[in-house]
Amino acid sequence: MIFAHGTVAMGELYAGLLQPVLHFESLLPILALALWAAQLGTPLLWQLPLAFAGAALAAAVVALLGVAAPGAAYVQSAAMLGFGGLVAARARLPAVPALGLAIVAGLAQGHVGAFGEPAAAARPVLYVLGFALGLGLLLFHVENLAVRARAFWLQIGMRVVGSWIAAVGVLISVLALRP
Amino acid sequence: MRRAVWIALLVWLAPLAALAHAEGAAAGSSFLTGFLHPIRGIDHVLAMFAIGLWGSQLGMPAIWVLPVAFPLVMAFGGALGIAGVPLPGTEIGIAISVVALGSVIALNVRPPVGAALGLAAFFAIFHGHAHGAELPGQAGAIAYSAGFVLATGLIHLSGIAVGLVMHLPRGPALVRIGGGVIALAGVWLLAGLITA
Repeated sequence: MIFAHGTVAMGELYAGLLQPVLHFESLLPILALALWAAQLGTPLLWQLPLAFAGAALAAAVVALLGVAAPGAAYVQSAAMLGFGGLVAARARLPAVPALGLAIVAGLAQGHVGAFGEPAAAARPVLYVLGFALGLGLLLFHVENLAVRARAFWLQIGMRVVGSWIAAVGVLISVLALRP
Repeated sequence: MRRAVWIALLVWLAPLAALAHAEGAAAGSSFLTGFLHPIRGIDHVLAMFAIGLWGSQLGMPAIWVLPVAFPLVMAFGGALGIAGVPLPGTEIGIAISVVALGSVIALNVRPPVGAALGLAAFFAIFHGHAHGAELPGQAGAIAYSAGFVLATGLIHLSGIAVGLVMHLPRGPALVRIGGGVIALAGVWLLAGLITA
């Protein structure tokens, strides 16, 4: 937490590391995606997070080159609704559309995480490195816990969390459309 | 090993507690405002608690279908509120939901899960509308939404948890008495609204 104050050179790495957990609009889609991947099991269990994180890193680099993508925040809201709903319904999709959704959500995630971030502009390489580490840690942790949660009640608990995330997604999406 | 994983995750998520610090006061206080919103209104608390309690009384699969479906339907009600779609008699609808949900528990009404879901969803629209209409502007909206969805869900869980007395010898009778108390409280709320 001391690093977050930016007085140390590690500040930018740490800012990137914390980006996914410090913002609800970043945290909730990742949480939903990780729970869904855990529900789907191998091989999507590891393919989905890899596709998501890979797309996020690519989008972060593109964003740091100065390319703006104004719609990215809407995609994040839609990702909360979509992945949250899939977790709540415990729905399975074939691999190709599932990976497609993860890539689209990852692109939005990476763009929002890097575009216009002062810390990212200051030391882009350190920031992106931290961002990659943060995404990877969060996805790994959540999936690790979710995969171990075999008990019936914990499975239901995951679906409840999915429905909560989808509910937040509905509200945010509508709010974004309001003039 | 497993404990180590938990601790590592908690430590890493700890900065969430510092949201207010990192994001400016707005996000932290919006989350708290959203979290407190459902708890501050006794009508909302009673209805959400009743949803959980009824789920416990009905048993599988209603015990988990209701809490999974309710937040989603409520969010659609909230969307109507945000969009400014007028819903006449929101407050009365919420009070009636307390009476109705308390009554079905007290009378031990056991409809098929689809019908129970339909009843809960109907009332969820009113509850969501009341929250949506009070949602703040763009700033802090997501923190507010996350707070109020979380609080609502936790009230469901407390209803389910209390409903676990169903497994005790006199449990079913206690749950029905609880439903009766909720229904009476709803009548009192309704009377207050009508005479006001």
